[in-house]
Amino acid sequence: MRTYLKWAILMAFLCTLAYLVWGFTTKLERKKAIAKRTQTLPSCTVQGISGDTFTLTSAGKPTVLIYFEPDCEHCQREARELRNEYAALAEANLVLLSAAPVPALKTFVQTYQLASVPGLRMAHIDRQVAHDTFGFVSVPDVLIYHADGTLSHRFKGETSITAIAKRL
Amino acid sequence: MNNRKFDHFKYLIRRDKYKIGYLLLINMFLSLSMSFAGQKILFSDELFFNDLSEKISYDQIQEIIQLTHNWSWISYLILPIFSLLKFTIITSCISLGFYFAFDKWHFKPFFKVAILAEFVLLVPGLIKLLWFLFIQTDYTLNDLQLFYPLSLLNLFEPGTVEPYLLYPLQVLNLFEVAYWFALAYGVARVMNASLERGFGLVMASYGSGLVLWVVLVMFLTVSLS
Repeated sequence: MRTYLKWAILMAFLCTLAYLVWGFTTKLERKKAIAKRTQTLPSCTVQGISGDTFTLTSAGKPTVLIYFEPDCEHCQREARELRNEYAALAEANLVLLSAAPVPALKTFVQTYQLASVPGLRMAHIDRQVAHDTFGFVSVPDVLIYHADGTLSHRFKGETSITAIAKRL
Repeated sequence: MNNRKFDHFKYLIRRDKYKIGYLLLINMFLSLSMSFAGQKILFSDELFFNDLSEKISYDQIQEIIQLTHNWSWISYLILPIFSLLKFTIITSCISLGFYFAFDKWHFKPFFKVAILAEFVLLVPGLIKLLWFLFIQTDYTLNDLQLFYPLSLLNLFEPGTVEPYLLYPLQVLNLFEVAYWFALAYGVARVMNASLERGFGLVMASYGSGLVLWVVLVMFLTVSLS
């Protein structure tokens, strides 16, 4: 009985260790691939809140992608600041992406009066696509691209509009 | 294991009935004192402003500072629970190693060893406090988070190290080596065996647990960042 117990403990330990090592290496590889892919603005089609679909392109202007969730407090503060200080990002394509359903995004736009921000587009993106294409995991996550489509900077977490504007 | 050694265990358990409680209290008091001193002395409002002002606005920083002040008591509440959990896990590892070697399960004597050895790991905390108080008085939040005296991380520029390697490089430090020896000495005394034998048991039991823990932290770092 004791021998069986010892073998069981040993096997449990080895299996857990093997799973963690496998998980770590797999996730690391995926992370590196995503980091490489996001060095230039990936071509990705998203669903606008008015029912249209559009593809993310730089179109000769800097692009700011903000991934968010309507329920997240940091994202709500970010939206409030964006509405007040949007002039600093006037020269950029501004796209707010979220995995939340379109009705929730429409409510968010109304609550934070984002419809008044010129050039801002709000879109729904599938959570898996968001993760696989841009590596979005937590919110808010901000990706800033130069006019030629190369990555300027990535900010994870709440970021002031001034800091984003400096990286355009 | 012969009867003489087993009687030695019983003696240890009886003798240490109250001492474990006192040691635990002293250990937690010292940990809490250092944590409190660190929070009050090292984490100033100015530090937050200097470090975060490039990324977030003045109002947002003030909000973070306010939240930190309001919820700091929780960390003092969690610390003793966390310490108790840590001692329990380390003792379980050693007890399991002992069970594998001698087919007997003993927890209490090893629990005392784990608490006593933990005093070694209070030293880097104290060094950190004194270092930023008297030597490197100009520091950032990042410096505070990454500093671990006499660790392998000191050989690298923090900006050049991948985030998932920070923790393993911090764990590989001379105090950890001293901690292993403290554990081995205590285990050897409990077992009434040589230091070499105690070190072997610590390496096989606590060492395996530590490897699993470090890999888990690396896995979580890659998954959540």
